[in-house]
Amino acid sequence: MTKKRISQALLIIILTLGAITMLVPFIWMLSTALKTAPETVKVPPTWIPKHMQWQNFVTAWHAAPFLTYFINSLIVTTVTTIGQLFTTILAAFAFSRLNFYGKNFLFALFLSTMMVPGEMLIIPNFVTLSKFSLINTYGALIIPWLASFFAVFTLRQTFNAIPNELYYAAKLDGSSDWHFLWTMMVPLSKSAITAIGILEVIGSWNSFMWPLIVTNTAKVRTLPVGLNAFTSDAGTQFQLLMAASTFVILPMIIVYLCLQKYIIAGISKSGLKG
Amino acid sequence: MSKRRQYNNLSAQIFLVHAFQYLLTIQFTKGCFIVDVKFQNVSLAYDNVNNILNNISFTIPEGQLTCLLGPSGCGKSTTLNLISGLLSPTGGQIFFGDQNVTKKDALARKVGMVFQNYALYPHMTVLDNICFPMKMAKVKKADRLKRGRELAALVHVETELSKKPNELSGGQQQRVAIARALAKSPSILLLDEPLSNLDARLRVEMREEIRRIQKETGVTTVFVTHDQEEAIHIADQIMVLNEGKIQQFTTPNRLYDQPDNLFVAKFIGSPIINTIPFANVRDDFKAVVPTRVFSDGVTVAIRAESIVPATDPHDHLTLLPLSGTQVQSNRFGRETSLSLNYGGHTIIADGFREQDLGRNGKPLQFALRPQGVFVFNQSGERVWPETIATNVSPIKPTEVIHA
Ligand SMILES: Nc1ncnc2c1ncn2[C@@H]1O[C@H](COP(=O)(O)OP(=O)(O)O)[C@@H](O)[C@H]1O
Ligand SMILES: [Mg+2]
Repeated sequence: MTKKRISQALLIIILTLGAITMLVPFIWMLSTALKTAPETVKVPPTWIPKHMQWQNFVTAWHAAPFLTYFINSLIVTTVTTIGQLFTTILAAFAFSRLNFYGKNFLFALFLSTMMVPGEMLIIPNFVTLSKFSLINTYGALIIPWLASFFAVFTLRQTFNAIPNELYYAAKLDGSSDWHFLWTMMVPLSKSAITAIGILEVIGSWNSFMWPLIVTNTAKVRTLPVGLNAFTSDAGTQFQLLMAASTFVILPMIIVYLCLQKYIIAGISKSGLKG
Repeated sequence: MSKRRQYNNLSAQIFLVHAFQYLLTIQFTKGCFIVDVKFQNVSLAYDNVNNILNNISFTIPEGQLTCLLGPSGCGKSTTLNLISGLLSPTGGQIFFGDQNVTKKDALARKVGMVFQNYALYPHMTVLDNICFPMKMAKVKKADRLKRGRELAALVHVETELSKKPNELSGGQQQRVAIARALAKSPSILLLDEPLSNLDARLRVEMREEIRRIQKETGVTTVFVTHDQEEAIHIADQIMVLNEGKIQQFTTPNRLYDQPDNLFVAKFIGSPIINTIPFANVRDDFKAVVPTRVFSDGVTVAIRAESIVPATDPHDHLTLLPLSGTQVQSNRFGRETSLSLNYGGHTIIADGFREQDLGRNGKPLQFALRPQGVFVFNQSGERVWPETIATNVSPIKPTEVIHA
């Protein structure tokens, strides 16, 4: 009985520590966003600002063309996510149900690309895009992310779990591969597809490095890149940066909170992490 | 007056029954061409090297229920998938009626199929499941819903129409799967071990249901099973398959009474037929078998119910008086099972009553009935008794039900 108590207490402590570790940066961000400039660098640091500086949010919003950035982020995230889901569903179906020459080789090849770190792809992708004169366009922000093998792999696992008999039954009933995919496989894999979609929405919305590299005018820049506006040679205006960060990540927090059960389900089903 | 009315009632009832049967026939055979299925020298190798099916030919008669029976892995599902068109043969030809369908795909062959795990579409309601094939065939919505309801009534799931498959019991899912398979008015209905996921009691019930539905619709039906008892109860004729070859294709009773080979003899019947090396008991049989059999016989097989007490007053037709040693006897409700040592082998007899038994370890006189005793040669073919009637094609059962 006591043993059980102790292990339960330990579990709660570990989970609490984990939660605090996750939460501290957010709280720090919020707290900093509400400080005055001098207070942000004060030693020892304060957790609760002396005078709440709510106008920081307004100042930050006007410090850069955030409306444009916001619209750009929205466009890029939407198109990337829909496009990626489309290619993922098709590829996962091909790898899971169709028989074609070189299928296993192709699959192994794709699998091996998961071992290449993302940073290594930056230069080749940049060179390719500049050859196509796509630098500083939406194309540069969207095209490289229209396919993700991680997503294909995850969805293929889900598709594989759908019994073959269902496929045969549908075929006998007069359903084409295409029709079967969209009316059977996709509805049956709803939770996995939602999870993949959400992960891509968050990833795309938060992506910083790539948009920074391939854009050089406000016209096509996205929100995370806009945060750069608060860093200059003269130093960083932390309170404004944090205020801007808050409204940049707010939509994602809302998305996450609303759909977290799908994300967890998707990840635990595929046995992989993002 | 009252007699007259009764008579009228009766004739009205008879009329109604006939009309109903007639309507059913129209209803469920409309648009479907009831055909036979012919395999001509069909072979199949999944890897193009090893033949799973080896040059097999047979005809499945139209409008009847045919069982494919055999142990796991013998090629039953493969045969079924060749009929459905989900697989193409490596060699040979397949005909539906006069039509060569070898090159036609599954859809063009218009077969209805029921899978072992039912393969119902989990996210669709029962009615949508049943109507799906008609939706694919672009049947008008009102028409397909009407026919979907009729089919649901035929298989007795009309009260579950708006449920999802996972809200149904196994038996109900099975019924829905059958209704869906019938929805496209198939030329042939194929069922791949449809009862193996059900519990024993339900299995017997559904077996009768499938039989009823098949009779009502008259659709040519192929039923795959590895359970000989199930096959015997449901089939008009049974094709026994083993190692990709047809062992025997005939009516259930003939299969039991005249197995062509040792495999069939052992596969059909429960308890499993007793087998004794013929050499051990050859002399006992000298008086009844011809000389050729006397020298060629390798195995003698005796059904448990063919071993009877030597003094059975009811059975004057005993074949042979023999003697052995009683090993053990057990009673299981209405059955008695007696183990005998005969010819150096322990054999099981279930034709004894308690008062006919002796004591364990003591000699026991017994006799064999003329039926259910077979002698097989080296390659397992039956050499005795010789076939009574020539067995070229399966005998068609009487047409009573169709009339
Ligand atoms: N898709 C396949 N690829 C390769 N071999 C298969 C395939 N399907 C079945 N087999 C093999 O073919 C043989 C017959 O299988 P099957 O027709 O499913 O047997 P049954 O239905 O009688 O149990 C088995 O040995 C099985 O391993
Ligand atoms: Mg099988």
